[in-house]
Amino acid sequence: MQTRILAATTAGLLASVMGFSTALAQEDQAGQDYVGGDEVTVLMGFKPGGGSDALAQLVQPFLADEMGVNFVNQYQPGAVGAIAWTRLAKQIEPDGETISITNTPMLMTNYIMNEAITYDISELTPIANIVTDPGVVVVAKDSPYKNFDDLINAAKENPGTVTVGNSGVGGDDWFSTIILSKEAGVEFQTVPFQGDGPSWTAAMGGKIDASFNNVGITYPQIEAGNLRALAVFAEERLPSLPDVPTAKELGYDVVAGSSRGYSAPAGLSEEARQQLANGLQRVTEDPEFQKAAADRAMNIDFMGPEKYTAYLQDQEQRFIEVWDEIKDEVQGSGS
Amino acid sequence: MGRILVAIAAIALAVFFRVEAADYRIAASRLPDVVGAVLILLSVMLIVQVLMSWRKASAQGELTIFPKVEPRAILLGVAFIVLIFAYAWSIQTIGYLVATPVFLLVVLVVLRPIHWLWTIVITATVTLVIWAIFIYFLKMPILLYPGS
Amino acid sequence: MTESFLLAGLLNVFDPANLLAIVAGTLIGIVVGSMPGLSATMAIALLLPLTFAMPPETGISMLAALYLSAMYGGSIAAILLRTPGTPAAAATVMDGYPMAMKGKAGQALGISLTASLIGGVISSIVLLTFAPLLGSLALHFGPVELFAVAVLGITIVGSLSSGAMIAGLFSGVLGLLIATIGMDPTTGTPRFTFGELNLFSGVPFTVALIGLFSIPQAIRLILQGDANKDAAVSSIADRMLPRFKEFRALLPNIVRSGGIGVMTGLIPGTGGDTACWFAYNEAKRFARNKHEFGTGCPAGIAAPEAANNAVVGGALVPTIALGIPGSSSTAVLLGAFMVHGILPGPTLMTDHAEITYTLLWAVLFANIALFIVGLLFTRLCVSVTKVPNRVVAPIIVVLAVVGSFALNNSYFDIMLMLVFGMIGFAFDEFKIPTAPLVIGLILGPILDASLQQSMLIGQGSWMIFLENPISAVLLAIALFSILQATPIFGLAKKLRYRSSGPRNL
Repeated sequence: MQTRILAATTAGLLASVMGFSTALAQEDQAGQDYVGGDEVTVLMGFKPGGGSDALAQLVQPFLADEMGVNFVNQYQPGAVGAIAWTRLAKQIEPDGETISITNTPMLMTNYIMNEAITYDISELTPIANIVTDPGVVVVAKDSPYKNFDDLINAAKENPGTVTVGNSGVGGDDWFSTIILSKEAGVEFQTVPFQGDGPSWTAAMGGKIDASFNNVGITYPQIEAGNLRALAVFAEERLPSLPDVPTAKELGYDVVAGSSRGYSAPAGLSEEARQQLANGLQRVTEDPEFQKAAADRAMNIDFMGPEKYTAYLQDQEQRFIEVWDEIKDEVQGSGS
Repeated sequence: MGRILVAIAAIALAVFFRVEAADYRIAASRLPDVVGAVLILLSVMLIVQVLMSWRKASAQGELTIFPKVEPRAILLGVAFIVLIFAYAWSIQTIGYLVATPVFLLVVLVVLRPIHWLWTIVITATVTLVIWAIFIYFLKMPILLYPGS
Repeated sequence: MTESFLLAGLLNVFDPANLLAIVAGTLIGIVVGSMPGLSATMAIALLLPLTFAMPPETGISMLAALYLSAMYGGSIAAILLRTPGTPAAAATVMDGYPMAMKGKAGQALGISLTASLIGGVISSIVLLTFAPLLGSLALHFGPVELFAVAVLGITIVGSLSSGAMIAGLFSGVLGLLIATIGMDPTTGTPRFTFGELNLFSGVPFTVALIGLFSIPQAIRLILQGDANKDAAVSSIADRMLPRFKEFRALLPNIVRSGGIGVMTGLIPGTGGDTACWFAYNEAKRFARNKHEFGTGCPAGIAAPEAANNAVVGGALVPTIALGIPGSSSTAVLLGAFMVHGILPGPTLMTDHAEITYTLLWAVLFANIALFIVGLLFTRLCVSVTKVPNRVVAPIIVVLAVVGSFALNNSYFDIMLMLVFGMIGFAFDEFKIPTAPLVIGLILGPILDASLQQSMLIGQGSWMIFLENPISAVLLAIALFSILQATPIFGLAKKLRYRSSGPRNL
C-alpha cells in the first residue's frame, strides 16, 4: 500500500522533471543526421564536478543543438580515468554511439607509469581537442618569491627545501615540475596533492612555497590577488595574464598544460569522426560558446582529427622519455 | 571461536600485505607497515582474550567452544547468502529486469511471509520503482535483460 | 553594500518559482538520500543540465535544497532499515535503529528531523553572517593540520568500543589497513591492487558501507522472521516530534553538534561522514547516561543528524568566500555556478553577490522546507516497519546491489559490497563492533595522504606536527581522549568522586 503511494509520488515527480529534458532535446536539427544515432553516450572517467565534467557541461548543450543529437554523460570514475578509458578501448563498439572525454597527460601517463593499465592511444580514434589549460606557477600573495627567478634561485641555494605542490602523481603539473627541475638544474621538494584545489589552497595558505597548477583553475584567485602567478608554461603570453612571463622567455623550455578533447574507440567510421569533429569545430567557432568558455576561464584550443592524433602521439613520446629517466627515483625498487 | 577465526584471518591479511609492501618505496609502505603490525598485535590480543575467557568458563564447567545453533537457521542463512551471491552474479548476466523479480519471488515464495497476491504486487512494484529511479531517471547503465 | 545584497537575496528567495524549486529540490533530496548508493553529489550532477534552462538563482536554490535534504534523507533508511542511505548517516544507525526496534521509529525520525532543522539553521546563520570572516580559516588547514584532525578522529574508536576495547581497536585498525589499498598518494604505487584496475582508487567507502550494514541486516531479518514482530511495530500515529521537555534536554547537544558540523564542514577534506562521528562521540562524552548510547538514546540520533546538516553550511563557507570547495558536493555546486557562467572564486561575494546571497537564503529556507516536507514524507516511511521482515530483507538486498552498482557504474563494486557484507555479518555474529571499521575506512585515506604530504613538507621530520600550533593542540586533545579511556583516568575520576561525593547521579 504505502509503497504504492511512494511510487506514485516519485513517478509524478520524475515525470515532471523528465518533461524538462525532452523539451531540451527537441531542438531544431541542423544539417544531416548523425550516423551514430540520435543519442550519444559520453563516458566520463572522473567524478561529477571535475574538469572533465565542467567541459562536458559546457560543450554538450551547444553540440546537441548543432548536431540534433542528445548527449548523455555516463560517469565511471576510478584509477585516474583508466577504468573508463580501458573500457572505451577494449569493450565499446566503435559505432559512434559512445565517445569519451580524453585528458592529456593522464590518458597516456596512466599506461606509461602502470603496467597494470593495458590500453594505449593506438586503440582509440581521437576526434578533436577542445581546450588546453596551460600550466602556471603560483605563490601566496605575501610570498617572498616576487618573481620566477626568486623561486629558482631559492631552490638552487637550498636544494630540496623549496616545497612545490602539484595536483597528483602523473598529472601535467607533476610532469612540468620534473621537466622544469631538469631544465633549470634545480631540485624542488615536490608535494603531490589529490587534485588542483588542495594544491593551490595549500600555497595560498602558506603551507607550501609554490604550487604548479593550471591557469583556468587558479585564474579567479590570481585575478583577486590572493595568488601571484610567477610564470606560465605556454608558447606565448596569455591574453588573460598579459603581465605574467612565459617560462620560455625566461629561458626555460617548458611548455605544458592539460588538454581535454573527445575520442572514440579505434575503428570509428571516418564519416562519424568527421561529423563529430565538424560539429565540435562549429561549436568552438560560435561566439556565444566562446563567451561562455571565456567566462569559465577555459582556453579554447581546437585541434581537428589529424592534428589531435599527432598531438597525442607526440605527447606520448615525450612522456615515455621523461618517465624512463625518472622512473627509478619515483617508484624505487620493484615497480 | 568466531573471534579467533576472524583474528587469524586478519593476521593472514596483515602478513600478506606486509610481504606485498616489501617491494614498495618507503613512502608507500610506511603507513601499511605500521598499521599491519598493530593489527597483528591486536589480533593476538583478541585471541588471548578469548582463550582466557574459555579458561574461566572451563573452570566453572561452562565451556562452549562452538555455540549451538539451530540447524534450520544455518540452512536458511547459508541458502539466503548463496541466493544473494547468485542474484549479484545474475544481474550482470541475465540483467536487472529478469534477475530482480526472480530473486524477490524465490525468497517470497519459499518463505511465504505474505499472501501470494501481495507477493506478486510487491515484486512488481519494487522492480519498477527501483527501475524508475535508478535506470529511467538516473540513466544507470546496468544490463536490463539478456543481450540488451 | 552587504546589507542590500542580503535583502535582495531574501526577496529573490520569495519568488514563487524559487520557492517551488526549493520544495522540488527538497523532495528529490529526501528520496535520493534515503536510497543507499544514491548520493547528493550524483543527483546534483545529473540535475545540472536541467537547471540550465532556469534562471541561475532558481537552479542553484534547487540544488542547494537537494544537497541539504539528502543529508536528512540518509537517516530514514538508517533508522528504519539499519542501512545508512548516505555515509553521513552512518552514526545515526547506532541509536536510531535500536530506537525503531523499540517501536519508536516515528519518534526517532522526529528527533532526526528536528535536529536536522536546528543544525541546518545554525549553519545557515553562520553562513549568512560570518562567511567572509570564517572563509580564511579553511586556509589554515593544510596537510599537517589535517593529519592531526584524522588522528583525533581515530581516537573516537576508543570510545565507540567501550566494553569491547580490544575488539573495537582491532576493527578500527583493520579499517585503516583496508583503506591503504589503492594508488599511493605521493608515489602513485598501486598498493595491494593485484593488477585490478577497480582497486586503483582504493576501496570506495560508500560501497563498503552499504555492504557492512545492509547485507548483515537482510540476513538477520530473514533468520529472525516475524516471530516477535508485535514488539517492533511502530504505530503510525505515534508522536513524531519530541515534546518540549525532551527538546529542551536535547538542545545543548544539538547546538554543540551543529557547531561541530560547521567546523568539520569548514575544513577542506572532511565532510558529513566524519562530522557525524565527531558529534556522536562528543554527545557521548558529555552525556551522563553513557551506557544508554547504542541502545536507542535520543541524544545519539540528534547529535549526528544535527552535525551532518550543519556540514552543508560549513562546507559552503570556504566555497562562497574563497571559491574553495569544502566537499565533493560543494564542488558540484560550484559546477552549477559555472553552468550559469559564474566563475567560482573570491568574486562570488562581490560581483555575483545577489545570486550568492540568494543561495545562502535558499539554504536557510530549504531547512524549513525540509522540516515540512520531511514531516509528511516520513510519516509514509514509518509504515515500512509494518512490512514483514522477510519481505523487507530481499528488498534491502536489491537496493544494496543496485545502489553499489550505481555509485561508479561498476559491476566490480557489487561484488566488493558483498565481500564487505560478509565481513559485516561475521563481525556482528562474533560481537566485534562494525562502527570502528567504518571510521578506519573514512579516516584512513586522509591520514595516509596527509602524513605523506606532511613528511615531504617537513623534510621527513615528525617534529612538524608539534611545531604547528593547530596540529599540536589537536594532537594534545587526541592524547587526552586516549588517556580518558584508559584505566588511569578512570581511577583518577573515581578518587575525585570519592572526595567530593557523587553529584547529579
